[in-house]
Amino acid sequence: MKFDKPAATNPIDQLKVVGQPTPRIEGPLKTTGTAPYAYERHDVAPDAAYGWVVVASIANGRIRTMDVVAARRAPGVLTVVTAETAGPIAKARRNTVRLLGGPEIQHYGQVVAMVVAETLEQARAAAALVRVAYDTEAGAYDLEAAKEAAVRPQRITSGAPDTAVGDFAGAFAAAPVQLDATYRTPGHAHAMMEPHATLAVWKGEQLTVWTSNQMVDWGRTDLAEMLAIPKERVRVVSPFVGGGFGGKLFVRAECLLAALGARAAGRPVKVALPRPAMFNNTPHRAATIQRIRIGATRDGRITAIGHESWQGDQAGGRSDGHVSQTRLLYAGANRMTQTRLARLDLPEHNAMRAPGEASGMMALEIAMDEMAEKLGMDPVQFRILNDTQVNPERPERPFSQRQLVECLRQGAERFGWSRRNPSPGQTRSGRWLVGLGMAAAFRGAPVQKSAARVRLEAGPLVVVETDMTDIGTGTYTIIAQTAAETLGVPLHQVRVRLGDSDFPVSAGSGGQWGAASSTSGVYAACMNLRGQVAAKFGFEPAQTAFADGRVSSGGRPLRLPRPPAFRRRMQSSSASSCGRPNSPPSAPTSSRWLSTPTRPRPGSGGCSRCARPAGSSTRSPPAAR
Amino acid sequence: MKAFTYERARTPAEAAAAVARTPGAKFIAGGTNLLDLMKLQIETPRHLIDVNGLNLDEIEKTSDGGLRIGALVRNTDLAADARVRKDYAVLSRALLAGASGQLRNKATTAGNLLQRTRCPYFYDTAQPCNKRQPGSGCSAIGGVSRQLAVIGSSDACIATHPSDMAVAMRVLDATVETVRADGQARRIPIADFHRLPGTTPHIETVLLPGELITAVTLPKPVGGFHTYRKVRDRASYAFALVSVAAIVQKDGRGRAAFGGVAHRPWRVEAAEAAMPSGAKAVADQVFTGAKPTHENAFKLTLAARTLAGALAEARA
Ligand SMILES: Cc1cc2nc3c(=O)[nH]c(=O)nc-3n(C[C@H](O)[C@H](O)[C@H](O)COP(=O)(O)OP(=O)(O)OC[C@H]3O[C@@H](n4cnc5c(N)ncnc54)[C@H](O)[C@@H]3O)c2cc1C
Ligand code: SF4
Repeated sequence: MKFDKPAATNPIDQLKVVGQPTPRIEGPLKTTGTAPYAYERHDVAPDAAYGWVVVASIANGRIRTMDVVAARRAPGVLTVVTAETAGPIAKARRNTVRLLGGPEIQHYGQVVAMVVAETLEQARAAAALVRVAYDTEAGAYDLEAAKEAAVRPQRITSGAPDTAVGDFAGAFAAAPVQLDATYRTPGHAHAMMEPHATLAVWKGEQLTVWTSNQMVDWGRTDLAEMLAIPKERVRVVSPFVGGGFGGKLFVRAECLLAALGARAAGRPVKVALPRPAMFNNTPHRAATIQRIRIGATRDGRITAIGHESWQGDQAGGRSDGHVSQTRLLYAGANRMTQTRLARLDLPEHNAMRAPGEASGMMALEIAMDEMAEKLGMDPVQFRILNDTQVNPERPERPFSQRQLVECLRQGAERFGWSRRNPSPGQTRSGRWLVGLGMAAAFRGAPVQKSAARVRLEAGPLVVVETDMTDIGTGTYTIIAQTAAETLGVPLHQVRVRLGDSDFPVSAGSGGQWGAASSTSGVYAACMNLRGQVAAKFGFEPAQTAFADGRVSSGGRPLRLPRPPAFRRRMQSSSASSCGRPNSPPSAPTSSRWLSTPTRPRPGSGGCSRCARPAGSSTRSPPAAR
Repeated sequence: MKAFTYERARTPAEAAAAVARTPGAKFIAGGTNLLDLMKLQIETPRHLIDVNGLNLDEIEKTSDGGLRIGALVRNTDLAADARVRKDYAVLSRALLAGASGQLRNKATTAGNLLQRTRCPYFYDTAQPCNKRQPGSGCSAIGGVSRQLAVIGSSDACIATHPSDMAVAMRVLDATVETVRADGQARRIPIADFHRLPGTTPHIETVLLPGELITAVTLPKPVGGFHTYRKVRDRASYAFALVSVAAIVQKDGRGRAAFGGVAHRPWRVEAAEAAMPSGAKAVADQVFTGAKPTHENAFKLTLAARTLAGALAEARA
């Protein structure tokens, strides 16, 4: 199903379940500590050994020698993984640096080895015995110093790195009121509550990782690429993610090393990045330097606006689109934006919470405030005056809907803007100086292809499976709401299973596309299922109503069909890309909503494609109702 | 963490003797600092002597009207003690400005005085650090030094003492009571207890090997308005960039000690005469001879302003 036209009336419009307040269905599992996170999967690998990473203590250079003899001999140690023992490991497409360093070191804190031992304490103690000697090389770490040599990146998130309209330089020079300001933002590090953690299990040639990752299929692809094995031999399971924020969009060192360690030790191995390692071993938001120039008439109309940004990254890295919002937010006939990327030997930069927009909006909106002050104008008024109803870089393109002015007016009204004292430092509340400020902001709403599988079952009635993740966002709940609304069943009769590469490939959680895309995929699958149910009863799909778990077309409502009489897997139209069209039906009897399936053991007679061994029961976290 | 052996001491003198006798032995109280350092192998004791059972957890009146605080009194209990809250409010406030509720439940009076610096290079065992590894050099000089000392530092070390409690103890003229390995007790004024780094930053106090803290005593109450102001990068759960413990009397006279600026709580009694003339006058004298780095020179302004805030609060 393609969503390329305005939505006509559809089942979601009923808003019986969607849009209604409901307790999160996954909430009780989290608050009672029964939601299974990767590092705690004792149920799937009670015999897991522990990995502890060793990180580089130089920022640029080469490993001269690495002495692991003492570590190998230490109590409880099963194996030591290094770049040397692991053999060549390809760099995954989505990473900028290699996840296992050596002999080259690309940044401080790059993982160079991992010790695997019977206990965490033994692994940690032995890791401290690894002796590494380095040849250090000079590196570039200072954006300010590297700025001059920065180059134009090929692209930024929103397209071209540079844009120009009209005569910016001329208009700025001629503007009666000018602002020329440079802003600097520091680097930001990820430190979500659940660290990057993975449990890896090999069964012959087949690898399963229980991991904490926002994008199951990306992770699967990248891990297969690094290990040089077919993607089909990798299964990635990530049903609960304790925070990601972009830092878990891509497979990180602990996941690769868990796989390598488990293979070397011949045992399940689990690894979590220790908190101090996270700061250098996960991607971060790069520091920026941003110059903004605004030229305006004395009555506050912008005639020229320019935004230039500089950030650094490793070779082959990329730049956020700090200037993207400036292209669209305010009017002004003469404009320019420019992005430059410097080469720095710092840990790799990558997506972190509104990458680009967060740093860029900050600079733009401070500049707008400073300009308003120069003009002696109210900052809300200044923004309203410079609103645009067309894309200012391409005036032939009007916005379909843009309500920034209404938004600003309403905000000003509700916050009591008119009662604000515009001179700073005048309003006190006890020990505190109190100020009232404002800023506009927007972010894109991208969508991605997303597949899901929905079927009717004897127990729960509706089962939804997709490799979509829940990163604390309530995905289980919104997907259940979508299915319940579309199929006309009560919410408690929907079971949602997420975060498993055995399920159809979803959009994943990232880029702000997760909720919109994944629920669309579920909606599409449900609509397919409605069509098939209607066909089974010989009803015209458009004339068929689904409500209260029943189907009707003019006459008496009939019960929704259930297995075994009706047993077909229905998939959304985009689900064909998930590659498992012929999967046999699974008929779980004991699984409950939210349950996270375990892998069939070879020889247990289970289904190799779907999630579960025949007749086996799955570990079912206590159902919430 | 390196493997270690463990025993519980029964009397203070026995504990002191045991540490002095056993190579690589250390006391453990709440463990909130020592265990963290052991996990990172910054501290690598081979033997731990647990002092939690020594019955040093009472707060009692002294004959001269002061308070005697047992070495094992938990930070939570000390902060909540009615006598402390009434007569030594600066101490209560300083304690509550530190760490978290859970940590304060474990942290002890002696352990707090002896907690080690939070210099980032001290924590990174891959980096040179004279305090962790004497003679290896100081990475902080010329490195990231925003948190570090602006005064009393040396070419060997520019670390700060991170304790909030100790700053209040300093302004209250507390005395540290100890028992030595030979069984002798002694009393050390808090002003003499912590050392400046000099050429031996790894030696942080005047305690001798095996010397056990048994109590901290406070002289009789001095009255006045008590306050503790702590300025930090996060509003909670962070160490001080600058802190001020101040006691101000009705007539404007008073005393002040500063935290986050030196290798020990920083107080210059001679400067306190300038208190009625305002914070700047005091701070100028307190920080005479300061040697900030380019990253932390702001602390001098910040310290003066924080004291000004405390004085304004006292007047209000
Ligand atoms: C996350 C975190 C945040 C923190 N934030 C703050 C803060 O904001 N402000 C602040 O002031 N503190 C802070 N702290 C530090 C905390 O106050 C100290 O860890 C605590 O006070 C140490 O006391 P303890 O009893 O646990 O000491 P331990 O860890 O048991 O011991 C510390 C040292 O004292 C020695 N020792 C213990 N008892 C005796 C004794 N009786 N005689 C001789 N030597 C002894 C030990 O051998 C060891 O060397 C923080 C700590 C953590 C972990
Ligand atoms: S300031 Fe002191 S603690 Fe920090 S690196 Fe230098 S010597 Fe070590």
